Amino acid sequence: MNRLATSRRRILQGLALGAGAAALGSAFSRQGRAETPHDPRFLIVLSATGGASIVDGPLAVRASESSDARSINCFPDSSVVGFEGTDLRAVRYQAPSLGPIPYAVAADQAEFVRKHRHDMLVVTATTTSVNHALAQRRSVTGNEAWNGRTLQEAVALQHGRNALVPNAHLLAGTSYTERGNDPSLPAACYGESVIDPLLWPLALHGSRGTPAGDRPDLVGRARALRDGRLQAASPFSRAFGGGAALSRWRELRGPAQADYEQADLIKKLMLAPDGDRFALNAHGLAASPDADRVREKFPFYEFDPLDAQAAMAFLLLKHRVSVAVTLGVNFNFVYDPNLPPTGDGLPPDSVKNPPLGFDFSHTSHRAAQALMWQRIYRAADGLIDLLKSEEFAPGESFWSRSLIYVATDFGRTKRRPEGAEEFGSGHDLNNGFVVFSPLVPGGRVLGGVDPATALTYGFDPDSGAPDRHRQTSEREVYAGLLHALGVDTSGSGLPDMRAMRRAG
Amino acid sequence: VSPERTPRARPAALAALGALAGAALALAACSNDDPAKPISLGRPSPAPTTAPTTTPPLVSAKGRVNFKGGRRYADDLARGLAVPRAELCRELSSFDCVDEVHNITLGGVDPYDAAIYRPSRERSVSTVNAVDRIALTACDGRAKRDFGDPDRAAIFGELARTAAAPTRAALVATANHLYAGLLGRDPNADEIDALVTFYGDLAAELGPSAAPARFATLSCYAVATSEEALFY
Repeated sequence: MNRLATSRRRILQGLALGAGAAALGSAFSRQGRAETPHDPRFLIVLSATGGASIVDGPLAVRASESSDARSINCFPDSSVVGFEGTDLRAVRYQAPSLGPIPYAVAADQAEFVRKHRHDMLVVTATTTSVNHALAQRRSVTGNEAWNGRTLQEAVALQHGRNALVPNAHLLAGTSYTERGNDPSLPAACYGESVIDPLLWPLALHGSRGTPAGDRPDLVGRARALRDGRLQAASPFSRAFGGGAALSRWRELRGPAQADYEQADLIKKLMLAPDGDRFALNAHGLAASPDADRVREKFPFYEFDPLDAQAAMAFLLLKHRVSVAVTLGVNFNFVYDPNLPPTGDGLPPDSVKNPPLGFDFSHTSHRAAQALMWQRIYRAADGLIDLLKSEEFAPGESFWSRSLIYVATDFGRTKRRPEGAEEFGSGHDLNNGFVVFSPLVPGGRVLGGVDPATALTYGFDPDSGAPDRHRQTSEREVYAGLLHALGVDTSGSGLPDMRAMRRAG
Repeated sequence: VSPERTPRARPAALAALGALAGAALALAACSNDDPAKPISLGRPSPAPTTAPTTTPPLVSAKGRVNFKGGRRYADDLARGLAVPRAELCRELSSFDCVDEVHNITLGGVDPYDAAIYRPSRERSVSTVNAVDRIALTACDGRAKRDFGDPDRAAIFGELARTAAAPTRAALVATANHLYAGLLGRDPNADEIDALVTFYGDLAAELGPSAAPARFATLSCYAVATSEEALFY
């Protein structure tokens, strides 16, 4: 970051320390040190688990451009859509099956890219691991670029001062949501796992919706009894109360629990509708006032984890409960149970996620990539629309201060059997990342792709000019994202990636 | 040792404390209804031959304890309240609180659906809330059973069997049942007094007809979510 910006931030830090210390509802004020309390920016890590190939999406190569068109992964010219004023591209793809799965794939990225291209940036990169777990982790730590701190943790530290759950991990079972290695952060910066967004809100209140929930005041008195006289008289508490575990427990169930309950998160975040499956009203609960429009945007929330995650991600950001949310696809097969199979194969639109997500490309590269890119774009589209519709401040939407980082493990191998339309691919370090945000220079490709090989090349970190002799590292991408999000990286040694920030 | 100072446990005593913590404290407290009295490490106390001396309570130097985790806690709670494990707690009357809803936040794993193979070491406010919800639901379930069929009551029989306001003896008996079931020991005098006082406060506000059942649920909740019930 430039020196002027850093100085201004430090001044703001100093000015705000007094006021910030008094802020209630802060996870940090309860649990650790304070950080810069200026207006937050929001990070959405949208994980394209399994390896989203950039040349099957916004950097697709037309066959007419390549000197080796029959052997590299490029498309018929008619399948690649371009957009005036940008190097971004989109793929239209149809296939009679998804490899061995009898499911006709029809994907069209063009409408989405056309709609959001002005906030869409592609950053080419060459990463350092073709192991899924390692690569996922490195895509959010910049290959341990800043003491092993994840992007989400860095944003939580910078902007999460007034957030109750600064860093929400809605995606489980991947290394995008593993805890980082930096032990110096306040506990609240490390991610909170949200396994089922439909039921998780129940864990945000200690009594509402339980049989005793009609009298929270009496529950409060019972807590006071427990934490007061009973605890003082307990030989166990007296013997072990000075230890770390019980000290931490007392922090959590004291004012921190009260903050959660007073914030009424059990209602604000209740995505599920009242009904037979979720008997909310019968238990004194109700759906969020935002639930209808959120469910309308992500209508498959009941069976598709990505829709449920995206819906919850929006609610978490809208209510400023979180400043970093991580969602994405996983390796499980997701199928619409409301569309029973027919004799002609699986019905249209029934397969939401193939087994292994993007990694189904091992079996059926193009169909898997087409289906999965469409899936990622659809989730991003819903989130962008909702965030644009939500006012953060007069004349300013939540989207104006949000960034969606489409994290992925790695790219895919670029070659195919000569002339093959159906083929499998392996893992490849060479790739790129997609970012959506008004905070980045939209409509741009930083770097480029060599049509002869389908390999990407890098760019000048300052000007953004393409550089065929340079490769962008994970560390540089990590730094560029943090700087776009206004994170103070002073002392980190991270490079300045001016090209990834929108001017002005 | 000055009674004004809190002594630090010696290494040998600490080793014994660590190994025997739960059982030892429970046994110690059985004959220890005065919080000012010393805590035994499980050895039977010899009959006093001289005037009793007062020794301040032991304090662990490191205070290392572990959270029980959801399933162990639920098993203990079900056993302590004599409620079938499957009926202990269901969110929205449908979803098992421990196995389905709060499993991960309570330190569980979910290898098949969520690909979570290792329990989280971090506790959060959602853990606190989950524990509260489980205990409130389980305790309410026990209270409803006992008040619905006092003759077969497991915990709250003395409260349920009287139409009038419960006597102190009934409240003490309730405290004894709660501590025996949930913590494996008897309550000491201060714990009994605290519960009796709590009942008085509730009765003053709710009246003698509503107070006993509410007291049953909330006193049970207070004990069932105590540190002693949640950590080992």
